[in-house]
Amino acid sequence: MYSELLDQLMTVDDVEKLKNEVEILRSAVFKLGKKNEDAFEQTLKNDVRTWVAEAIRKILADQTVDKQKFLQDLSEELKKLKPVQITLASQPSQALLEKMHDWLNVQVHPGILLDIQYEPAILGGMVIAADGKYHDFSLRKKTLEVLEKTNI
Amino acid sequence: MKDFAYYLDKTQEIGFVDQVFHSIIYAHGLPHAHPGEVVLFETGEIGYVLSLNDQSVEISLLSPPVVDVGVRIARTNSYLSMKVSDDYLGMTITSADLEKNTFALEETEADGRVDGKNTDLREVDTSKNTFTLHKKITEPLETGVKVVDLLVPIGVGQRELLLGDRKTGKSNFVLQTIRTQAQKGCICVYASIGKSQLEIQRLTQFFQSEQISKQTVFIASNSAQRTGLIFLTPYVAMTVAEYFRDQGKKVLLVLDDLTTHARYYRELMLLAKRFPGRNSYPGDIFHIHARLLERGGNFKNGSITCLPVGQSFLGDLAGYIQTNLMSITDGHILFDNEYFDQGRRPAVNPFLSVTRVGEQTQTPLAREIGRTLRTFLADFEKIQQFKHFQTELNESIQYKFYMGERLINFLDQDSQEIVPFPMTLVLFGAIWADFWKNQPHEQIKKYLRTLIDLYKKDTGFQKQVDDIATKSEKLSDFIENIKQQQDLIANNPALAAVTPPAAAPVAPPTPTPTAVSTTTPTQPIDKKEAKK
Repeated sequence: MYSELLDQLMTVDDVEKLKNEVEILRSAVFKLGKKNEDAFEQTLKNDVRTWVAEAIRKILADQTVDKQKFLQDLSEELKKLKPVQITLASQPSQALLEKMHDWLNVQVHPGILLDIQYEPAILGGMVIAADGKYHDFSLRKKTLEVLEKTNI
Repeated sequence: MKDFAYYLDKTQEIGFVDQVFHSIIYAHGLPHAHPGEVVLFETGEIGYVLSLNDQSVEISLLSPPVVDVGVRIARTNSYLSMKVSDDYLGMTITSADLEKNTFALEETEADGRVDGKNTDLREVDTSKNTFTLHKKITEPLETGVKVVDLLVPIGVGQRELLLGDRKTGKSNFVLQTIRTQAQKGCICVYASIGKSQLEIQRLTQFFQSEQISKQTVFIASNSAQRTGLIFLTPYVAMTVAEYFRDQGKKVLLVLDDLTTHARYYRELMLLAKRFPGRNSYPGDIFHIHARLLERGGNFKNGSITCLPVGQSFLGDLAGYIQTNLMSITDGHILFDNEYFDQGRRPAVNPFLSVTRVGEQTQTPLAREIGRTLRTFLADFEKIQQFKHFQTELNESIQYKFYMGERLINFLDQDSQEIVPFPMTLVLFGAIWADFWKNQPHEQIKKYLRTLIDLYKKDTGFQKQVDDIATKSEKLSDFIENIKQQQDLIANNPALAAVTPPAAAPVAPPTPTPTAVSTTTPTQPIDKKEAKK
């Protein structure tokens, strides 16, 4: 049910944005008055990105889905996503981001998010921190190792 | 200390600060962190792991600056350690020193030493099993305080609790003991736990002014420091003491005080949301003190005589921490606020004080004197209620009043005064034999002070006094011996300087000839006689 939304998420920033939108929608659900439906629809229209609004409308078109429970479960699902912090020496292109995201979700674990950090001092390669593990595959480290071995 | 990147690369694990709650930090990550492990923040702060669960790591921060949420954390894979060296002698180590310079995380070299021969890297909070290295306590530890040396003797390697209300003279006693022991070559380590800056300054001046600084290490944590750092202070002091003990030296360790330490630990644990137990202390409060004091004792190679200080409230000895400490230690010296209010200095209550192993270190003579004196003083306390009968009392009772007051006066001692133990024995003998008969108490005090000074200055007199103190094994022989030495003690030429032209005698009863014998004062009081 949530795949339409979750599949679109690639980075931690994406998740943060969606979380904020879900919170806005949840507060709209609890608004009192006869125009509840309108308030929620108006929020979908004004305060939520178009693709998110469309996906939510599509899911809620099914009358059996409870609006309040759906948003709460979606919020919980977002918390379960695991971020992988990747530090790069240069700003990555969108294509590279997508490639990395797809590879990680297929090869490592589904539901992985990218937390991209920009650090030119690493020169090249990448530093990965995920689930408490830390691996430095940077050019800086390799260079320092070589310099240490050669006593330069 | 190596930098953050070094440890990150070494352990290949990372954590991130989730929540900062005073000095407690909750973080996620660090999958293989273990309790007690030191962690390093990318902003340079140091902390150590308090506890773990599957969601987060609980860290106690030792550094003062506030850490922000999201800051990276690296494991160090080492327990909290510190450098210890002989250079510590004469130093005052404050909290700031501990945090910046003392807590070392360097890699230990193959021989366990770093930065040269005389520096050790030692774990601060360790609980190694040293039971097989212990040996029986046989040597007395001289405090220089008459009432303690005679009635509540302490042995080298004993753990003796000093218990009393605020301002009842505990710290003065501790400083007297340190002066005595430092002059004898003992290494003295004083841990001041969570005290005010003013108090720390006062103690620093004491250690510098008393010319004993080369034998002492003063470790102080300020009450304004991080709770985690204050909590570690006694463990740091014990680590320093162990370093000198392992060199085969005798170490005197003072922990001032453990009730304050318990309060800081309670604060830390309540912040960490531990379930509060009795008096809101956490459940492991006994364990944290027991594992600290178990590190003291008399060892085959060196010793750590441990004097933890406990503070009672309104004379209540049944407090939680106080009773815990009593059960951990080998006895306690009680500083009684009632005695203090009566003007007794030091305000040690010998009847409620306990020494479990001290008596076994005494000579037979010292032991007999202690028992005789304790029994006599107990009788003296009992007959206080008949004091208002005054002249209606018989001579024997009147003599007990007279001698009891003399002994109380003899046991009184200024906080600056230190009395060598042989001199204490001989002076007791002089009082017991009733030298300076009918002299006012103040005059006798002058005589005692003069003789003590003479003992410290005149080696000939010192030798004679030492001979008297070691010659006899029984009290009766000792008193006979003292009587024969009246010219040396009561009529010593040095006393002429403090003898007034015509000293006005007090108005005591004339003691009976038998009263000065060694047996009469120790006999129990006949109740019928007392009723008369």
